[in-house]
Amino acid sequence: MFDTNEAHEWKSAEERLGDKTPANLNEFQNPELLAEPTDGARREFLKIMGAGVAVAGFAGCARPVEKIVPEVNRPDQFTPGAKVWYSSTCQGCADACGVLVKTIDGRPIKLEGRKPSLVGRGALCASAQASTYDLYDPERLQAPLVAAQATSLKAFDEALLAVLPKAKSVRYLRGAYPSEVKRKALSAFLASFADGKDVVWNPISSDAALKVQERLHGTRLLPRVRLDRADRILDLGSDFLNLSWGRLDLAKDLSRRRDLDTNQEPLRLTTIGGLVTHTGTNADDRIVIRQSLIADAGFALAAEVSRILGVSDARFGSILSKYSVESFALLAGIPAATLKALAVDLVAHKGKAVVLAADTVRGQFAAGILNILLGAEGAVLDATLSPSLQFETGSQELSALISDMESGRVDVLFIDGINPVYSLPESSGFQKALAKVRTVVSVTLHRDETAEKAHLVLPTTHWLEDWNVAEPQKGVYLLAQPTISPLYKEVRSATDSLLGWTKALGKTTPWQAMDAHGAVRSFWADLQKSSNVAGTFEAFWEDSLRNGGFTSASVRALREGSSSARPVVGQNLTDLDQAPKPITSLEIAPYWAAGMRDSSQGNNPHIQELPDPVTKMVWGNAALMGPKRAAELGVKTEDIVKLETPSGTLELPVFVVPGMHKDVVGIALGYGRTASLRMLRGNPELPIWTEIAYATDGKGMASKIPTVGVRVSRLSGFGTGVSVIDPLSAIATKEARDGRLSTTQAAHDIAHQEKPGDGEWRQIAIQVNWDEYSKDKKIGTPEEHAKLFTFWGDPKFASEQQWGMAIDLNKCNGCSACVVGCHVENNVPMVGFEEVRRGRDMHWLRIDRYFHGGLEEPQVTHQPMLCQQCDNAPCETVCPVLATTHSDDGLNQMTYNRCIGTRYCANNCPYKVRRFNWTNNWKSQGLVDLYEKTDDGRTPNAPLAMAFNPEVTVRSRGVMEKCTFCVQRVQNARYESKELGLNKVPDGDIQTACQQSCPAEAIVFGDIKDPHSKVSRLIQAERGYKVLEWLQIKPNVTFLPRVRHTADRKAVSAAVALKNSSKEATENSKAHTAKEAEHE
Amino acid sequence: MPLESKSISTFAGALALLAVVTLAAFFAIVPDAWRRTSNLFYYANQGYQPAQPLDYNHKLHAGQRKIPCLYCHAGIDRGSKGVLPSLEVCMNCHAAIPTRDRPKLKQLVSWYNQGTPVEWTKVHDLPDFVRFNHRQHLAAGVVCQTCHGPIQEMNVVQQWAPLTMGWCVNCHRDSTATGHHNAPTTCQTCHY
Repeated sequence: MFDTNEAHEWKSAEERLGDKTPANLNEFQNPELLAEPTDGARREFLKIMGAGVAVAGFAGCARPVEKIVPEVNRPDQFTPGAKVWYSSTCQGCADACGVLVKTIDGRPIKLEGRKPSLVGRGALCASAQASTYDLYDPERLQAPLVAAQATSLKAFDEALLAVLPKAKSVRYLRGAYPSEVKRKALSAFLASFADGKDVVWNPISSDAALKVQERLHGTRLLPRVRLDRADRILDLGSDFLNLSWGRLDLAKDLSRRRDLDTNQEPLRLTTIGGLVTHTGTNADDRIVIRQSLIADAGFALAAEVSRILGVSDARFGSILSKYSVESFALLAGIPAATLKALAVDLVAHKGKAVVLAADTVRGQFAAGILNILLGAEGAVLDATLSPSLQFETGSQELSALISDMESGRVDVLFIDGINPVYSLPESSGFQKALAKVRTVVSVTLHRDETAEKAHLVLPTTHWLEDWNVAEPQKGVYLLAQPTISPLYKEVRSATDSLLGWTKALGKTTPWQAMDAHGAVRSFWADLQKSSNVAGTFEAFWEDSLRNGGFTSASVRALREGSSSARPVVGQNLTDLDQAPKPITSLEIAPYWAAGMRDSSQGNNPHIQELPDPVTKMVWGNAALMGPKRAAELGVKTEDIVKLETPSGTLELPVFVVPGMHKDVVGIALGYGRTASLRMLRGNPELPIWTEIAYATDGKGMASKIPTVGVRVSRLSGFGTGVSVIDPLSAIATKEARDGRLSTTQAAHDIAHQEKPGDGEWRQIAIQVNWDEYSKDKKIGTPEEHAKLFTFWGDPKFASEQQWGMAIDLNKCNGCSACVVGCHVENNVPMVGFEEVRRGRDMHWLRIDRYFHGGLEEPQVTHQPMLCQQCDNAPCETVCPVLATTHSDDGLNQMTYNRCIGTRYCANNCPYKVRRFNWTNNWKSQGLVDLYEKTDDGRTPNAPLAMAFNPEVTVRSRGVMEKCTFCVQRVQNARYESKELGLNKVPDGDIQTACQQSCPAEAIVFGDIKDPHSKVSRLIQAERGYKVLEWLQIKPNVTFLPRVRHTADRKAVSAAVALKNSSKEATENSKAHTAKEAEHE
Repeated sequence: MPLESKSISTFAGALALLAVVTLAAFFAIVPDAWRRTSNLFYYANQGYQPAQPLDYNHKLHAGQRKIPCLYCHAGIDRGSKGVLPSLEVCMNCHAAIPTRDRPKLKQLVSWYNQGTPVEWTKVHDLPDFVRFNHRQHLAAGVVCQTCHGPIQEMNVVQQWAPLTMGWCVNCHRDSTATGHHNAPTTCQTCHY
């Protein structure tokens, strides 16, 4: 099925087909990309200024007068300019990973995963990395709104407390953050009313999982997934690397089980589905079927597995008897042997196999049955020792809430931290029912869609400004402490507010303390008692603050033990398998994109400009379809397609994604927010198709608010009420006009060099098969070649240490946390839709996504690409002003103040990793102007200026920049080692920002002159290779190839065929094999 | 010949006069002109001595009273930035020193009591693309006077050293050459 012999990699369907469209041309090929900025302002400016430059220069050369304002009373232990790290807990999503917050001069600058934390274990996702922007976002709501008028907290409380005493029915709708303190404060508050209810809901939910777990096992909880104990993973469309609870731990364990130095055999990940998901790109095997058939595939597999095992459990036996692999294979149009082989493989790894499913009831039910049959319960899934408490939500409560709202019973509705007006489909009835609620109170960071509809809006503190406690997994208590005082006076945390309101209503609060700080301390005092921790409270408290939380030794030991399998207690489970109407036409499959996810960070340009791991698109969504479907429709990437569904019409540009099922069109949710983005406001050039999409909204031209992308969930008719991920049938037609989209997939293309003379193709991203690799560890890597003529010779560097990096493509899953981590650390600017389209994105570190094999079922490899710090750097040779030179510790240094912007270096860089500042990016995006000072020497638009890392220069217009291997971290480590009297920086003391943030531990940095350093050991690995090594430029980044543990389908199918005397099946499979041969 | 040379010298003289008049006019009209033009020369801001809001005297405190630099500039050996003392540090001594009828001291005490911070004008101001770290230099045994000059003799602080790149690099080179320190001279020592 997979064409693994095909060594050539490619970056887009267009490249494969030989089409020339903007989406697959690089920065040097596309005339559109090379166009001047829209208004031609630069040339005009030069013309006018040429004459007057001397005059202007004379008067303008004054140094800015800067002020130093020391505190009247300096806080204890505070040193200006020194870095202070605080342990805290991320509250960006309900996973609650442990973080370290770097602060300088009292400003949080950068978040990093906290290594000893039991949740996250040192990893941090792209969203969390970007969250310092949310804190300093100039669009943060700074004062409460009463009837859309900005007011004070006092006036807000007066308005609210005029309503509350009379209210009977009060609902509090909030996101699923596992905060015990908030829950307690909330239940005390809600107890003040005759009918007060807490409703928990998340756009990215685990409602179905919880429901099915409760029905199957009698306990409503999510098991902790221990992929470190798994040999086989089957993903039924869950996209767990992006969407599962505890996803960073899953990513970490997945990559650890793929570490070829510590594992006898890497694990195998098989995904089933029609979309190319983030997890799907990391699969060893992909089985491509319609999205609407995924759950059926699960049931068919379960039937087959129970047949092989000879188990017939009466409780789900009747369900499984409805399914068989053969009939499903016919329905799905795949060979039955494929599924049979998969079932055999899973059974062979009983107790070490796990099935994860998308959050639909049927999918979760199928996965639940498979996990019981395959013995995952108690082995890979821990539901008894320390289960997950992340993402505990309830759609039933939400449905009840909506019907209560509908009937006009709800007096006051609080909506805290989520944006249901945007996130919920209109078909849920929420938006309509909201009008019938007497008082709607929005507790929010931004004036989002829900706040627009609320009567009262209370701005909250950002989580970096507040206290909290999280219990993400049973017995694991994490503390969140503020790292800055609230930036604005008129904002207040939800916990503080709840306690205050409870008291104002004359009711008792759970603690004597009236703020989150006191509440957290009281909670902690109780914890000390219940955990029998000796010593004073203050000692315990200080210790916990330093460690970011507390987990008792017994819980720690428990977590490492093996849990027992829960018994199946469910009865009459058949109702969980209510088959939806099968879709026979084209189907739209909405999905949550990595990075953007549920759009809670839709106002964050770091996230908007983060290339999607699958499409590499930024600033918008598109209709993703396979090359076959696109050919049938006669459309290409960027053509507008009209998608008519029974419940509405969408028009958006096409993006051709190889590997999609022919009948599936994927559209990312999380786009089409109407709450405005500052970057768009500063940039008149909008993606024009956004307005087109709105114009064709059912209500006509009602809204012409520019948006980023198209909102999918406004289509009604998503079968199960509040779920937005159910596929929907559709008819697609090509529209006459062209759309526009912005993708980085080909903008910085590396030439596939041929070795001179032999014409042999040299791979950039090497991927091999495990079978081949286990026989020959050097397979796929470029052979030793005779020394070619070189201009440079062998450079020698004076320093005792030289820095290098190793990147394991087998571990990298393309999640892009490193990209945002790099941006925040190095003050890398965002440039907006139009500039990215011109190929002027500023990503110092990009992740190239390569396809291998055929167009229909390609394999994907993610390759982080950054400055390779070549010993013989070609960029240095061509710089006319010595702005880029080599340091004595082997780094390719970039001296910004010398750069005159010839861009020769970028042209001469074979890896295309140098980035040019075409404008003063921060200013031209309307974000912040660092070059402008007010009369008293301050920077206007202050909050965002506080987000910059003061250890790195903010580059101005006309200057080239690139990855520096985080030289500020290298320098700091050198100084610190020197002060300790060490000659060398010890191995592991320097972690680059990308390495630190990588959940997969794919990046290793260190001293390559030390043969015992971690990086040296990886460089010496037989499978290691360097990209474009034969150019003799001696790059210092070693890549380790992707080793795909693909099932040997032929061998297994033969075994299955032998075992299976059923003639029909064999013929079926033969017929399909013949069909496949046609495909290829 | 003499005639020609005479006319040339007249012309040159007229030009020189014009230049002097223009410059004089420039310095007379443009506020803060000397500081602006001094930037054009090699020794960028050397000698810069702005007026400060509080009449603090290094000569008195550091020179005559011999208060150690790090008593007031505490923490400069830990962080990268220059550290100016908070008013609290002044009051450590001045709480016990009678202000009597000394207006400068009265101002100091009233600012402290009101909680008004002093807005000092920055004297030693390196460009934004230069990373200078006090901590490393102090750790290497460089004394304050190496860069700040005879600060203990200054009534009002002025920029003593040129603080240009050449000046920095020379010191780094010399200290490496004499074997005192291994001061690096690669670009990214200061530029990143």
